[in-house]
Amino acid sequence: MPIFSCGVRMDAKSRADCDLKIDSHFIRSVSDGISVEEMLLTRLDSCVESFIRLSDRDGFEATFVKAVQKALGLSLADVEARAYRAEGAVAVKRFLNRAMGLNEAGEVEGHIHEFRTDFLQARETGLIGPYFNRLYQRGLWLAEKARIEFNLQKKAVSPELVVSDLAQKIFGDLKGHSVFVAGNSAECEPFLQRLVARNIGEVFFLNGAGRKSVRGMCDQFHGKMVSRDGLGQMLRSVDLVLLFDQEMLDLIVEHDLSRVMSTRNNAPLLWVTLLEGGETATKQPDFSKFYNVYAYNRNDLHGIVEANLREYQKVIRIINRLVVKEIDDFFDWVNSSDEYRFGNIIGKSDAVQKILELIARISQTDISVLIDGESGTGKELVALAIHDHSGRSEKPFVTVNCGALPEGLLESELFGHVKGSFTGATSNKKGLIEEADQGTIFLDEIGETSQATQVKLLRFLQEGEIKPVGSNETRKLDVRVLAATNRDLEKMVEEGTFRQDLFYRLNVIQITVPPLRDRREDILPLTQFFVKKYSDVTHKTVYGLDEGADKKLKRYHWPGNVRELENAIERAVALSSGQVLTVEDLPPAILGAAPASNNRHPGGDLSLKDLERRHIAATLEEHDWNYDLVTRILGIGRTTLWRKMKEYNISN
Amino acid sequence: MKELTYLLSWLVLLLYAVSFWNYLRYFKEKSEALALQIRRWLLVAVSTHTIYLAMLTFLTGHLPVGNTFMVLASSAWFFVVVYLVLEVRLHEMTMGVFFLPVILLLQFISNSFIDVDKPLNPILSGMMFEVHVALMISAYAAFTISFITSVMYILLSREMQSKRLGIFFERLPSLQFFDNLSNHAVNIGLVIVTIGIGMGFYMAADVWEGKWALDPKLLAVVVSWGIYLVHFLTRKSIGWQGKRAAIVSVVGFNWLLFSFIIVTTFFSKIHNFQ
Repeated sequence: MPIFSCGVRMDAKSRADCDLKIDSHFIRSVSDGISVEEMLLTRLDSCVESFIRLSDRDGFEATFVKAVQKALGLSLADVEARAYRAEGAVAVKRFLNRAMGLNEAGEVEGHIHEFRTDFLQARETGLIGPYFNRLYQRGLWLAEKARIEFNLQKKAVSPELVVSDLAQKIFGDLKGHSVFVAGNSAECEPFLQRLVARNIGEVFFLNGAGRKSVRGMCDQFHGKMVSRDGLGQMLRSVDLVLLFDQEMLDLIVEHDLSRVMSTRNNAPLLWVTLLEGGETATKQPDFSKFYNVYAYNRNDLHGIVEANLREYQKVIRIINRLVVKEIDDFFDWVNSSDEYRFGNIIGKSDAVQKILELIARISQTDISVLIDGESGTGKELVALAIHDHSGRSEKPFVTVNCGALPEGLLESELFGHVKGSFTGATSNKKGLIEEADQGTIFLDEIGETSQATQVKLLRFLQEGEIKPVGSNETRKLDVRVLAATNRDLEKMVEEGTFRQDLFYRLNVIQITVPPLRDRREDILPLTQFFVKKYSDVTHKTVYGLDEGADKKLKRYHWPGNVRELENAIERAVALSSGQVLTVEDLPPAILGAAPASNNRHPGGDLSLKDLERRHIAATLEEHDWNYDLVTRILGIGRTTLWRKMKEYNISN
Repeated sequence: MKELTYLLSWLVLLLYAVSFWNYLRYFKEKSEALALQIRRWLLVAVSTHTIYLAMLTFLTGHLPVGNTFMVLASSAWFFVVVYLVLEVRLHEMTMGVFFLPVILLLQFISNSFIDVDKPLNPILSGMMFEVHVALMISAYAAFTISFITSVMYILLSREMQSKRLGIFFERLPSLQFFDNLSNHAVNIGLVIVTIGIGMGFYMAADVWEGKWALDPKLLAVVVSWGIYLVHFLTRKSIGWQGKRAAIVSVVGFNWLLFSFIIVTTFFSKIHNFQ
């Protein structure tokens, strides 16, 4: 099914364009009258853009343009003229670029955050399906890769960022340093915002006659007003001057700058001149005679920004190559009809999508991750996915099941031992952590480790060092640690059976894999995957399940989670005689089970209405039709209760 | 045994060269993944250096401070140790690429001229002398740190004033960082060197009986002490901060090198460890 993109360039100067917000109203007006599979609307400075997956594009483009036209209040021809469209690979590329914070032309815009907000909103609205989820995750992954490997987003791409970078390069921590804003220009606001974001100390303004807006700005940034008499005094203590005003410049020049510099003990000064009428207008102080003054004007800042952008272009060319590969992969995946498969992880539920998104965002860092979830939910697959998406994917991935080994053995398995350190240690042996050097180690069942091993693990996590059993020397290693548990570590910490400091070290990021019964929508794709897998293994041609078997699978509460499902399907495929699995092929445990019931999800496959009806009826039944009590329990009014009873036909 | 020691001395130089190359790569490629590996190489180098010094001690029967080139080898070792401590404490690995050339130079000169067979002047043994040398080496270590941070300050400052921001701007920490570090190093070095020189004069008065006052080496040392005193005083009184202080520090260090190697070897009649 094809993917389209349609956008309208916005004119940032026009007031009307600024008002367009992507809210539920706007979303509804775009999706109105067309059957959408997936849709994402996003609004960035320069344009409003839509991505959509559906079979018929014509209707969509028309409604989108119309919705934008309506929202902006411009003429249709005007909006049409600014609209652009793309489909297929081009649309996918646009999507990936957006997710990475690149603009239309593939330049850095850094709006990753805004895009994310729009995406999450669309997901809340239920408009995001497997295609867009996947694209978004891949985009995030690429963005992280670009950030970590190519240093993207580190360099300043706006004059404001250049100034705060310069200040930081001169003064280090900006906390104890102050800035003087000389002038009365709206332009100083973005500069100040950047500086305040980096913890600049005091902000000074010059008090002049009738300068109301200066006072407003002063309040906004918690600044201090200085009178003209105090100017000389202030210049002696200030570290950064932002100059926007010729008049101010003249005022400052009146104060003998060389005397000011010497009284301030030649402490470094960053002097930024941003006059409105260009730089050449009048006399500028000659900064070259002050060796500790770093003076920049508008042209200098723009020169730096341009040089940085040129650097970016190089990086972006490399990234574009990655994007092209990503697009190929995407279409391969689309054609493979494994809609709900992402690497080794299968699932369409929101929970799984969120896990995949988290994996995309954290895999390329080295932080430790704690994966928790019931046994059989696939914690190792999550760990493997993190490893595969990291820069360590070519290096070893070592799994250790901490629960499977007796105490002393685990320690020597993990850290290695030297010859003669205990009976049976007939030679030196490398530990598994050392085997994983440069790669990833996955510590399954971390909750089963003893206190002694925990201490050693903690030391390894903190110092990156291990000491083999019986050895006196430590070895420094570069290993990423992923851990998993099906026990409640927090509770174990409270009970004192698990070390708190180790818990915090491991639990930098926590990924909780929910049990299968909490994500029933994943049962079908998982089943399909296993059916295919085992029909290949057994050389049978089984295509799927019949309705009865499907229902049984969905009803069952799956205490053994995905692993149990896999075993059930393996058995069923092995036993089946036809091309479709039937109820008879399923294990008796699943057939015999009562319909799934658990507190977290009482509804099964009921619609909200059905659920409401059943709940009201049950509550009334339980409390002997005592309306007062029941309204209090349900938290609704008496009239509402009566209305609902009538609506659902509930009566005594 | 002697041959082995000489061989080892060149191995030490080679290992420092490898370390330098590592730091250079780190500086250019900005890859944090290299960081661990780099320190490992430097540790290997400094360990080999330790073994080398131990062998020198064993061969000559006294600590390797008996002549100019042995002092150079010991100083280089101590500088690296001080550097490593700083690097770990400050989490700043970009300094290595500026620091290791100094070590390579010292070690190269030492290797080229060292001679383990030279007999030791009997007045150069004893506690007092060894403490004097140790103090001087410590002070020089501080001045070396001040030198490299000053060089880095000047490079970064020049780049910023040229308004074309390049690799120094991208890779180096702030000017403030270098200024602080350099000033601290000079303060500490100045205190130690004052004590060291004082001790030296006390011993000299004892040993050389008056004919030492105009020896070029002693004059050179007093001059370098003067330069660092200027660094301290101008900073405190007339605000020679940042770049000017950095220039004074660079001048001071160059004078130190000159006085230590050239003056000691070719001009000084008595203070040449003979």
